[in-house]
Amino acid sequence: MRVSPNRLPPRPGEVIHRERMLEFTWNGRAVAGFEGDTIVSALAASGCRVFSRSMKYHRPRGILTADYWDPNTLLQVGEEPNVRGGHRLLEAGMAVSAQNAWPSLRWDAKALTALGGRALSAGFYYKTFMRPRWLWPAYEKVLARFAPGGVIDPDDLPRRHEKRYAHPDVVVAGGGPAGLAAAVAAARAGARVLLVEHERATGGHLRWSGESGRAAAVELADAAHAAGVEILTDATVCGRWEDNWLGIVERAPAGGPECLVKARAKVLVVAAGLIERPYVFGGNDRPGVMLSQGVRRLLNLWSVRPGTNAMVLSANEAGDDAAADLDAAGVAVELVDARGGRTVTAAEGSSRGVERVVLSDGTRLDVDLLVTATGWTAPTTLLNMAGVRPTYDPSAARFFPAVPGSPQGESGTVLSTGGIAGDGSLDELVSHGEATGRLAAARAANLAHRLQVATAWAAPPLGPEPPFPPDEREPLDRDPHPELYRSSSDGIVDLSEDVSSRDLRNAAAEGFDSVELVKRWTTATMGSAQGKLETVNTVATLAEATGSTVAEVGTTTWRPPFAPVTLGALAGRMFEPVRVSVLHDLHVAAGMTPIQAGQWIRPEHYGDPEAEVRNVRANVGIIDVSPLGKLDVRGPAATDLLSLLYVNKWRRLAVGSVRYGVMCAEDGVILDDGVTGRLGEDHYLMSTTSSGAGTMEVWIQNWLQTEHPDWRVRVTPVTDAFTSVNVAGPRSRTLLERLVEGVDPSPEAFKYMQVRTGAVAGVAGCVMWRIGFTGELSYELHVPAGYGPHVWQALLDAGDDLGVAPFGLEAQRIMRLEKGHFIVGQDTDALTKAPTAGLEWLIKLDKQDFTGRPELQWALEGEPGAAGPEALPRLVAVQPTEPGYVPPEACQIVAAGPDGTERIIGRITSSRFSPTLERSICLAQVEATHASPETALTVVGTDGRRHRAVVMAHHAHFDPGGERLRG
Amino acid sequence: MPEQAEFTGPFAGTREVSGTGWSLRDQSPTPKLLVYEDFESDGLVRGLLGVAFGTSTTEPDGVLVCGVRPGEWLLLGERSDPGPPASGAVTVDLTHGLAMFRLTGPAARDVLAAVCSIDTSEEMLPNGAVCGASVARVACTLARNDVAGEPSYLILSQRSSGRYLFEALGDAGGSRT
Repeated sequence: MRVSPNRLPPRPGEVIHRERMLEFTWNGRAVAGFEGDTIVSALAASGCRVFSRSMKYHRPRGILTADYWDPNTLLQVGEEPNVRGGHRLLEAGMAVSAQNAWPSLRWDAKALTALGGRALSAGFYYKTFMRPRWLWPAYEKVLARFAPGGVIDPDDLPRRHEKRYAHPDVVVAGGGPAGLAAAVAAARAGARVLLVEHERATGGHLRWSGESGRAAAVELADAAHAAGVEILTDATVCGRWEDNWLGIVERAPAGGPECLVKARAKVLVVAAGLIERPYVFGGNDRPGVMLSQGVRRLLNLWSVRPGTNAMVLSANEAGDDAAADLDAAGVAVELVDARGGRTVTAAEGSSRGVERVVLSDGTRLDVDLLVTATGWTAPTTLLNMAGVRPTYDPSAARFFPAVPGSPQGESGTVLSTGGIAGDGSLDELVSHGEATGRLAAARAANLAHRLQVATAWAAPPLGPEPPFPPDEREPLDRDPHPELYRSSSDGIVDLSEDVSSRDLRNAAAEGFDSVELVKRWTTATMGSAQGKLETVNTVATLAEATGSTVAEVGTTTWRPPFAPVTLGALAGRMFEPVRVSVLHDLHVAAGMTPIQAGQWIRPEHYGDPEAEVRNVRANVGIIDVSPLGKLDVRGPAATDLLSLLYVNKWRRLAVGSVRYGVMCAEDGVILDDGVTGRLGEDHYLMSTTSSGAGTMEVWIQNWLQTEHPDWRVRVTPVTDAFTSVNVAGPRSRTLLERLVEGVDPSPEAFKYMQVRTGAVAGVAGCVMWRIGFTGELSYELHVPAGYGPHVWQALLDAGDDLGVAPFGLEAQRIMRLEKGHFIVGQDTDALTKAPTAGLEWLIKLDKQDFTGRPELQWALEGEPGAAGPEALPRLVAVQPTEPGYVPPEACQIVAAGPDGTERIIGRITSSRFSPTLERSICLAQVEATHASPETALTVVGTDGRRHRAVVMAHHAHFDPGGERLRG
Repeated sequence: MPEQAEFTGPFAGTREVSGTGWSLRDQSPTPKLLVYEDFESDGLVRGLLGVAFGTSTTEPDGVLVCGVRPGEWLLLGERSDPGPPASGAVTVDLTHGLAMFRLTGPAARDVLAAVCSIDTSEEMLPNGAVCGASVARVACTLARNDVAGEPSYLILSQRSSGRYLFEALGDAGGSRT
């Protein structure tokens, strides 16, 4: 067990619980920390200095920020890669290991890449691995071995992720002093407030800023709780979209799984604080080079001493405070005041870290810790997503949101406060936060009032509309700060991506003089820190290289996410609706093999689909066809609607009859088909394909509501109101005779393509169609769905002596193919016009206008100056000459030209082995010149072999005359 | 109906699950009648039903009349008068076509928030409110219909999605407890 040589005695404000020790392993060795430690603080306490190897050059890296943004402490924890060790709390039994190193963190063979450092400049990959192109597969295999990051177990089960929605009046992003004050003020003004804090506790920098700071943080947090503010800690507002649609990731709410909160806020207050930026100089990425805030966190939150001999390069109060904290912890400190012009030019040392520092005046100091405090980055990301442009202020050496009220300044519903907006004492920051909170609440109240007025189901708002107040906040000051970005030497600018200042200068020299281009060419700002540490230094280095100012170069575009989040968190909980018929449990009990068709779970078969076909052909079978789309169409204009939608005629359809119809889009392409029964003078039951039910409902409503709102017709989807059962086979009539009441099923009284209503098995209100998709005598029963199981069981019981048995989707598909019925979407595609499917007989050009008519007329008669119907492919029945060969669907059909070169002339759209005919059968789309009966075709198998096939005279392979159907 | 024919909803028999502060009950057998205002009634049906789009009211016979869309109402419950609810009304019986669940309890709003993006605050969805909503990616009608002072929501979807929806709601409730 590693002891904790760097753990300080108990200190006020520490967040560790020394009475609860946690044991874990680091690269296989046992280590111990305390509850409340992060992984990194526990390791640092144990004396660990090197935590990882850098992405490209595999340079040893140590702690930089000791928080979520630290680019050097991404670790593998068990099966989980890329864990942010500076943020993740320690747990007992964790197996923690370094990433990006082989065979070990100490002896990393990949560090040899650093020897070629000069060659590995920005764009190295683009320049080197482009040619010869045929070598790319080899390049890829080698490069994959150098991919950074941890490892995942592909067999690991996906973890659960949660999602929820929220509708707060005000969301405050950031729980530092200004954010807390804004939240409290907004809540006290009556707003529902959600405060989101990136760290594990609110308070921001107050948490590690001495007794008075901690007391202020506690006081503000208590006030927030008392005011009813909902506080999410360890959570990030990762994106902002239109109308303050916010994505918030809670990393471990109440110890549970990650949760994506989708929040619609009326007003967003951005109080993201400031992030300290590194200083660029030679060796600035050595272990032992830290930022002042990282040092203060380690000292004051986890009581960890980050070094023994320190030098602090300070350009601001934060640096001075860090030096004081180090001194108080017993660390020898040399304070170098950067405000006086002295800087660091190099950090020298070994693979274990920094050993001496070289200053700009040539002074050399032996230290094991170099602390820099040279400026801040304002993380304006969320503001930028709202259209607010960051503007650079050289006197303060940082970017600020554009001034409120300016063209690209804060909008009415997105406000900023705290360090991101300016500087001030604690009282001044709190005061600005309070003013911002009050403004946010007032504006939210106005929006809430208007929303309630505009929403039919909302409660009427109380009182008159409150005003949308102007922004009259007193702006925060801006403290002067020296512009310190890079020393006279080169160092690493982007520690996540291993991009140096030299890389950036070279990129500029190659012509990449725009920061957006430099970003993409060098990948600077694209790593795990997402620009929070390196953007300003990148901009400054580019400005220096191009002779521009920082303001002229500007920033890159900040896009979501604000902070990296897991893909699982973004996906949230997966909702994948499935639909089942009311007969589902009976199908399961009968041993169905399920198949998912769209959202529906349906029986593909019950063991032997070919046997099911034979039973239907010989006896009687029943199939659950409940997913068939069904629409109740009623009203005086019902017939007008059908005539508009379908290519065929409907006015003479008698009550009690059904008719097949095909719908086409305006371009004449087949959209859907089905039969419709006329139940009354102004009342129809329309059916659609199962897969097209939802689309057709929308299609019909679109026509009615946009083109014919005056038509007196009501269309109601009733797909689920009926359990639909097709009873098929030569004995189907006998079976029906035993169960129907009020309907004479005799062939004389109930003819093919007729509809009747009555009772089945005692269930009233059933609709019966005599139609047949299978080619057999059959009846489609539409039974009030709640009684579906009763009727299904009654059919099985009553037909036991008739050999009745259920059949599934596969048997139905075989039989419909035997009969030559096409399926929309399978035998047709997005270009298939009605004549292709042989539907010329159905298209009635002598009726009033209907959907797709002009295109269909051109297709049938030939568009002036264009090709006629011979240009359209044709759907034909095809039989391979080898009866046992079933060409897979989508196989190409080819024809040889005069020179022997083959070209594609069509494809197989459906194919099955027919147990009835004991041979293979197909439908295919082929060019019209190859569609004549007995034309020989060449089908290309998936193995490339050519198979002969013949075009048949009819679509129907079986019973083309329809005797069985009409029997 | 024959005596042996039992109504089957998304599940055979009754189904109820509950957790801390919420319960979910399948009420799919409840009669459900869709009522359209006929084009010629000129507001007559609206006047007779007296319920505006987005709102609901409970009739003396216990039937809940929901204004589900402009000119469309959904009547939930056994009506004492089986005739047309109003002169000029066009009706379609959707008892068998819709699943109906009741989610009740002080935590019901939190359960809904896990699966539905609708703002269920008192201001935006008060007792008596009716709206369309996506619940766990299923198109639903949501009616706030409090029970004994506790928040309660009737959630109606196409019947075939009911089983999935019930499980999704129960799962959402389970994960928050």
